[in-house]
Amino acid sequence: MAKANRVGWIKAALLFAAFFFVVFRFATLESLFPSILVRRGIMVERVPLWMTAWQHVYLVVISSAMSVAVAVALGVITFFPFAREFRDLFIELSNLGETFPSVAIIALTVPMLGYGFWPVLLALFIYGILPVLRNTITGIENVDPSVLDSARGMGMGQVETILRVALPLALPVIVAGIRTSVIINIGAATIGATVGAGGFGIPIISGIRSNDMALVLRGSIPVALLAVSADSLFALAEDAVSRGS
Amino acid sequence: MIEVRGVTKEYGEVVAVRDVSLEIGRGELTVLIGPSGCGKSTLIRTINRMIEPTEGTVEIDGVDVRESRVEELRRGIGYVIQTVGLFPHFSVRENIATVPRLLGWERERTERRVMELLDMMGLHRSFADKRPRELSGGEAQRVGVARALAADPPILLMDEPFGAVDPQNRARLQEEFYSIQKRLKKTVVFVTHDVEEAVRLADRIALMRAGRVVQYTTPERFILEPAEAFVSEFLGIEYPLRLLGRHSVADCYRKDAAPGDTPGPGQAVPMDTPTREALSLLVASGQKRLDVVDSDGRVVGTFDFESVLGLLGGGPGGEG
Repeated sequence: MAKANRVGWIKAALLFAAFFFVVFRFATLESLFPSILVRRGIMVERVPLWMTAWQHVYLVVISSAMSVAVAVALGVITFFPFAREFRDLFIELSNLGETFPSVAIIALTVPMLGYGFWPVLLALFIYGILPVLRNTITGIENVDPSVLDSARGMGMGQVETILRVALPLALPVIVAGIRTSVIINIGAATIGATVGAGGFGIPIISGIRSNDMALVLRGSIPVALLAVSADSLFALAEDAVSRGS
Repeated sequence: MIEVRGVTKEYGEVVAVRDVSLEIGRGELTVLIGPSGCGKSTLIRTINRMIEPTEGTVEIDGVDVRESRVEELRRGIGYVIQTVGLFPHFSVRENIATVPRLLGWERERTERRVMELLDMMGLHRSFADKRPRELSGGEAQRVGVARALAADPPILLMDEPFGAVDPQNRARLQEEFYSIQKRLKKTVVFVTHDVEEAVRLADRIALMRAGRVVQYTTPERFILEPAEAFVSEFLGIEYPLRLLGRHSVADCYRKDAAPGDTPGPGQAVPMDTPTREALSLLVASGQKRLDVVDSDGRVVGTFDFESVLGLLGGGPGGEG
């Protein structure tokens, strides 16, 4: 078990190292693969790549943090009698969200909030809620009923049963939901560039417009690396929380 | 004392418990037994209000259980279930300390109590830091019992507590629990479908069928005055033999030995032999009687078929 974990740590460390290398030393990469990566020189680099990376990560971290907080709270609330009827609605919405493209949400938030950072943040926030909300609900629902029975039988109150027993036991499932949410948002945030929120979408979209493959790769390689590194980190987190329970 | 008065529990059309009244004496171990679906688990759960009866009341020491806050009621009643239901994310220590923590005990007092209970359950103190998944079935169930006893509640509810344990371990757990109960004298309500277990542990047995209590009396009375044919049918043809397991030869031998008698070869039974085994020895010996010897090997009397009959006919005797 510890060995598998060490492999996980090494993998995550290598992926993040690769990500930072690409972001800060893209020039080195260009000199290694000049035929693919060197741009045709028409586009002037207005923003350094690390700044693009920062915009992207910032957007994802802020939106995901908000999503997780709201989603877990909403999920937990459905286990109290006064909000029980929301459970089915939330599950429905979460399933609907899977089929609803994130671009469409951005298309809806721009008219509300204008161009820039905020509409994208709002879109990612809303989109990020769904997987976490669904996993919070199903995670708690799948907690061994005999454990909840004995918690009640010992004289734990409702709040205590949920916070001290159900929620910790549902944590592996919830973390899996957060993992899905964050990975989706890392990808979805690239679209933010179309409405002026910055991020790795900038070089990708400029590259597509000017038919410059090298420029597209300048955005897509780091965003792909960011996604897999974040994923490897969540794999470790999932491992840790399921070991704890 | 627990008084169940006219308790009925309906689930829509289905009646799980039908107008049951029982008086469960303080310090007694009462077994609720019956075929599956007879309502025994439903009934036991009305006592700590895990289930609210449709009709009727449950009183503890003359106070309706609905009068106190449900959480407080439950903290004063130990609760053990078949699936154990240990909290998998808590250590054994934290599991046992659940109710003391809810009651706001001080850390030191709780820790002392946890150690005391581990000792009582025959678990090494190092178990305190283990997680439930590191325990065997029998160990987990011991922790389950320890957890129920943690705040020293006067009442214990046990719903098939040893049902999921293999037969060998189950017998051990029963024996251990029996001796603990003899010491602690809790008021125990114990649900099982295992006649052997009921006979081994019960002061009184309530035999249930289809939501009703068919008969509620001491284990011995079930033989002498079965309420209906179902009683003998359910308890089985070997019930009287099982009952003998509750007693030892000391409870029933005839004290007719003259001082200085020496036992014949191969015909003596020690006084502390369970009557069931002694009877088996008697049958195997081909004799009509066996000498009973004390721990020093002196003959103190006779064990024969009359002794056995005296035991079963003599009403509730001392327990072995």
